[in-house]
Formats: sequence, structure tokens, C-alpha cells
Amino acid sequence: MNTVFVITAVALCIGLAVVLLAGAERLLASTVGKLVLLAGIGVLPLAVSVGGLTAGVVNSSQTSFCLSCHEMTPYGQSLFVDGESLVAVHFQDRLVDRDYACYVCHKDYAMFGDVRTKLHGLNHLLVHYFGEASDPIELYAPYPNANCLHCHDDSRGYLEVEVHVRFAAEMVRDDRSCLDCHSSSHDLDAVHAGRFWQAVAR
Amino acid sequence: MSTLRAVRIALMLCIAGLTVQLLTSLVWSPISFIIFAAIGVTLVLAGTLVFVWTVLRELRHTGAL
Repeated sequence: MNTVFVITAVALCIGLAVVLLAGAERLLASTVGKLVLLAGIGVLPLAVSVGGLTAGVVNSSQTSFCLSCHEMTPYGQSLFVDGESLVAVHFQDRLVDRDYACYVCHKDYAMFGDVRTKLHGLNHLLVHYFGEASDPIELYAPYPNANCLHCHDDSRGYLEVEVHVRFAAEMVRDDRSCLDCHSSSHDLDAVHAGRFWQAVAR
Repeated sequence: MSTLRAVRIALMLCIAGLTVQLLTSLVWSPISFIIFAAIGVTLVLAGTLVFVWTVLRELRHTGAL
């Protein structure tokens, strides 16, 4: 977690504890004291909390956060398999930011999509701690082409493939899925067979 | 409730909330994030609301509002 948050929160906690134990009455007696209380109780704790919450939300979008639940272990391992699966190629060739690999491909890019994605994440946690995840894990809805097109839509490599242009309208409408042709997303067979890419140290 | 007592309650709520946030941030995991947000932030919010309510009540009492 963010070091700045920890230091600020510790300092604020100590300051508030001192005021609580020794100085609240004295501060209430003067105008400057009241302003100190206004800042100390009315503004700073909330500001620190919002800062911590923001850092937490950013942190919860990280690959390591997603993979901290055991249900996600094989999906995390599929990032490292040897082969041409979508996930492995995107991760190993750095087509996505490795620190946010899960989030980049699975977030909702629509308006308020971040909020919806976080609510889904909350639901994942409820299932993890109080329920039982389906085996294999299933998406809430078919994988939307918009998530692929968000990056590939106008990229040269994508546009130079004739079928992409021919089926462009259908793909935008989700009438035809990218996964119809690129069917190997998370290659769990390779994970179970132990076929992993070994980077050669330079 | 006296102003001093209300301020002390607000202080205690803020300290409790910040402490929860601190402890959960030291062991960062999905469940600690939920506790951070659901309990830590809520306690701080409650403390701030108690303080704001006290200030408004005091201002009304003195005729400033």
C-alpha cells in the first residue's frame, strides 16, 4: 500500500489522539482552535481516506491483486504458457501493461464501466469468501468485441487483415465474436500440461 | 449532547476509522480492501458527519445561521 498514505494516516491518528486526550476543550475555547478542529476532524481524515481509497482502487486493478485468489491461479499461469494463445501473446509480447493485464482485457470500457467492473469485482469477492466459484469460471456475459477493438480497431496490423475489414460492422455490433476465430484465449490445456515459456536471461 | 462530548465522539470515530484503514493497508489483500472501504472509510465519514452536525448546531444556537 502507498507509503505516503501510511505516513499521513499515522501522523493524523497521533494528532487526533493528542487532541482527544488533552486538548479538545482548549481548542474549542479559541477561534484558531476551532479552525484546527475543523481541519483536523472535518477535512483531513476524509481527505486521507479518499486518498487511501483511490490508491486501493488502483491497486485492485493490478494483475497481482486479481491473481491473489486461488480460483485465478490457472488463469494467471496461462499468461506464461508457450504458444499462440491470445493471453500469452498479449502478456509475453507486452501488448498490454503486465501490471494491469487482467484489468485491461476484462474491464468494461463503456460509460461508468470502471464502476461496473469494480462491482463485478466485489461480487467475485463475495463468491470467493461466501460462495463457490463455478468450475470452470464463466464470464457474466459473452466476451465483448469492444474490449478487443478498444486497442485493435484502428491499428495497422488489424486493418491489414482482409476479414477484419469485411466483418467490421458485424464485429462492432457483436454479431460475430473475435473469439470465433481467435478461440484460444486462456490456454488451460497448456497450463495443465506444464508447457511454459522460459525467458532466456541475457 | 454537549459540544465537547460531540467533538470527542467525532474524534474517536475518526481515530477508529483511520486505525482500521492503517491496519488493513499493512496487510493488503482483497478482504482487507473491503474492510478498509466498508468499515474504515465509513467510520471516518461518520466522525466527519458528527463534527459537521455539531458545527451546524452550534452555529444555529449562536444565531449565525
